[in-house]
Amino acid sequence: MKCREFWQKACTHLEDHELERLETSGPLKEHLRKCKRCARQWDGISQGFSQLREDIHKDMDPSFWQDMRREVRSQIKRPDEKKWYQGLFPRPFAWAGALAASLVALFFLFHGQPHKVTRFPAAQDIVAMFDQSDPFEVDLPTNEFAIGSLKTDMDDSEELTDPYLLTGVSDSWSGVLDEAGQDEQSMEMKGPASKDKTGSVSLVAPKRA
Amino acid sequence: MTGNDSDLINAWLHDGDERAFSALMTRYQEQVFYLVRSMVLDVEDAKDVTQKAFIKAFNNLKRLRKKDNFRGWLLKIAVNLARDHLRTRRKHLALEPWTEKGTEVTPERRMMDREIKRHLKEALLSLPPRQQEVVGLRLLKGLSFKEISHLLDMKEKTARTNFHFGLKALRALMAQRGLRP
Repeated sequence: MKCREFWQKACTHLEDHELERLETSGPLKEHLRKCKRCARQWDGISQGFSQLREDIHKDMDPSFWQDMRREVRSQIKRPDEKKWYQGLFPRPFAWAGALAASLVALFFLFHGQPHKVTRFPAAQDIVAMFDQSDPFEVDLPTNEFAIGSLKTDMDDSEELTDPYLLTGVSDSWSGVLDEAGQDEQSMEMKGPASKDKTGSVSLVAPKRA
Repeated sequence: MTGNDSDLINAWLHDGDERAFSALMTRYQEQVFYLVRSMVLDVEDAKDVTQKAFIKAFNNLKRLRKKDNFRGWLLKIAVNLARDHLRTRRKHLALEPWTEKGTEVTPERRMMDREIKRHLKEALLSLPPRQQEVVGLRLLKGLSFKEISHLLDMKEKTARTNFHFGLKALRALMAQRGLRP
């Protein structure tokens, strides 16, 4: 057997057997007896491994294992150990819900009621409204809510036909309205105005023919 | 405290039972330590890696689905940590000149043995990682190739090939270190 062949077979043999079992393998043992070089190398490896194995499997002192357990224990937490803040908040989700509700309540408290979405008149409606010169003919958008509230304060017999009653009249329009009213009255009154003893003026209806 | 792994793990996880913790440690600390030592060789390094493996395992115990598989899971953690350790140490070893130590062969038998052991240790640590792991687990720990392949996540055939090349390289390294006739 050549040296190369010996080492190949020795390696294959060691795959499935212990180092010491090589001694019992006939052809390999025979080669070792003949070849001093391989014998020396083999001894070196087998002795080295045997010594290393002895070292590695040497029984350790009981205190070695105790120290190891203590060291490991000191570096791991008990699984049921809780952190300090977990004690304060035993139910974190309930606390989070309550906090969120409080924030929403605080928001509405300082910002008033939530705004209702209202429909403003379209731009072209407003332009059309002011294009009309006669305030009596202004076609204002109706507002049922306003009409309803006014009706409660007013006599049912009164008709809410005048549009300025619904929307209000601005100062600039009030003078015009007064003048227009006086003109209308003077046009309707045909008879002469009479003065009573107190000096107050009363209108007398014209006599019919 | 006795009981199977699953019972002990549940006792530790749900009740924080210290006896369950000690029982699990006592049951596996030697297995883990000797396995790791066959890979990293040094006692202190092996102790350090073993402790890290247990700490990692206990801190992640809730994630272990099959509690009965604790042993295999723990050994895999240990092997992976040992590999990481070797990778780090190999970088430091690379800084040391190899040939200087190889010249210190003494005639005395005891000294010779010590030298052989040291040479072998250094030669083992100089092997490529996979070869070193397989050779160490096979010849120092005596694991079968099936166990090795499972632990190292490789095919059995790959483990055998690594072993074969590892031994060949080891022989060359030993010869280089003064065992040449």
